[in-house]
Amino acid sequence: MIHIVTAENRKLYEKELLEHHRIRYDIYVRENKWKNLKVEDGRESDQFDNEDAVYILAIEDGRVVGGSRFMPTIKPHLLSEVFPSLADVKGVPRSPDIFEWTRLFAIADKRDRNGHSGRVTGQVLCGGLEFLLGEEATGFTIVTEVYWLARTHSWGWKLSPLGLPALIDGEWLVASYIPVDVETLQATRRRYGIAESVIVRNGITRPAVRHVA
Amino acid sequence: MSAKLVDYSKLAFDLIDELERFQTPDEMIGRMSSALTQFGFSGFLISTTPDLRAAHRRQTFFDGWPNNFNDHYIANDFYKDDPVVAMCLRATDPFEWSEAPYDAEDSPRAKTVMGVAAEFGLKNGFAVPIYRERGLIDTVTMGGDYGALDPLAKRSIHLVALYAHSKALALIGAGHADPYRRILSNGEREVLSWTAAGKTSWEISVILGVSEAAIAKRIKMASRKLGSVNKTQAVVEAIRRRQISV
Repeated sequence: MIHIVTAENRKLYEKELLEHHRIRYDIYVRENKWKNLKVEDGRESDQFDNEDAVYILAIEDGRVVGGSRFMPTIKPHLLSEVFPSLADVKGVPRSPDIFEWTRLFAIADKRDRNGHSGRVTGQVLCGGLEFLLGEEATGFTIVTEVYWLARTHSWGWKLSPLGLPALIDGEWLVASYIPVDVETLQATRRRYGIAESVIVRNGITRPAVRHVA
Repeated sequence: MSAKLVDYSKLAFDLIDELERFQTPDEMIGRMSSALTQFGFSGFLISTTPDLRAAHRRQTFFDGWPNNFNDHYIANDFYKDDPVVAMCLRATDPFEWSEAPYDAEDSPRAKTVMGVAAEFGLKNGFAVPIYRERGLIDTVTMGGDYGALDPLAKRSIHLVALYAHSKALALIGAGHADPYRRILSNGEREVLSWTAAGKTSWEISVILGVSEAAIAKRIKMASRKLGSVNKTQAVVEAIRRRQISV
């Protein structure tokens, strides 16, 4: 199941959040060799792992197997602070109704050889969309490698580009805006054979964005 | 912001906006072709990337080449020696045709392919490899007779290629039809069919009269092609994609 972790219920997930930062080190520092990340005790973080961040964690038998991070676009976030040039045509969308989706991962033994098509990925995607719908968000922004575009299009996601692709640290990156509605969730559920809600809300009483706004 | 950025990116963004509205391949090919002339191109092609090792021929999704060049290309099996095709199978990033290397002495046919393309008005070009799920690689390629491509023009058509590819698949429904393309070798299909019938690797090795190691190798190759993690999943996927029948 996918657990939603906001500033409100974060103390219930201290152990899992540490585990998630350790997995992020494996994936983003060791495997993907991303630069300019903060590494401490074998855990990866950046300046956006702050009070405003919302995490979704795929937890199986007490073990973190996948996850993602959402930032409110009304606060400083990756696109606004690090990659604004990727949105130089349409501008950086900023609204309480729009989140930024970052750090989407599944641990290595839960991925198939194409990287991202496994069951856990499907749960993280559907869990993320459910979280967004629960927040009454209208959409999200995302910075990805260009090869994600063909995949996300094939799931029925209606992408619009925010700027031209750019070669950054050896990878072609592109920023997109993706509207979210029930049909987006249904299409993604069909794609991954998921029939029902995958999310768990322990100790969450408030929307994530309203109280940081 | 320079004037050029506005021009090229505006052309690209306007075209991508318009893609939404196209209802037929002809409509899209016509509009794409005329928009691409502003970048110096006289045509484009959206296709699978033929892989000689897997005995793939090229499946054309959208043929926007001038002067029936694609018919000539297919009739002459140019894909076998096309350096752009070879580069698409190796490259992850977009590239200009002139960056696709070939040795004119070792592969004279490669020189012929590029020469004939030039005769059809496709002297230069730009190719974008597109990575789909399950290890499929498609190509969006554009060609013409022009001097040099502005870096901003390249980024603009790169984006156009990514969106045009998705729209092309949506228009022809290839997202559904394409997975049925034959991708397994006869030996691989044979082994998966026997596996589906409940035979163990050892039993299949006896039936086919080959070593168990050879059976394991075929299963491994088939699983890889189908994007499956194990034998059971490979069988299910092979049936679903009509590579074998039970």
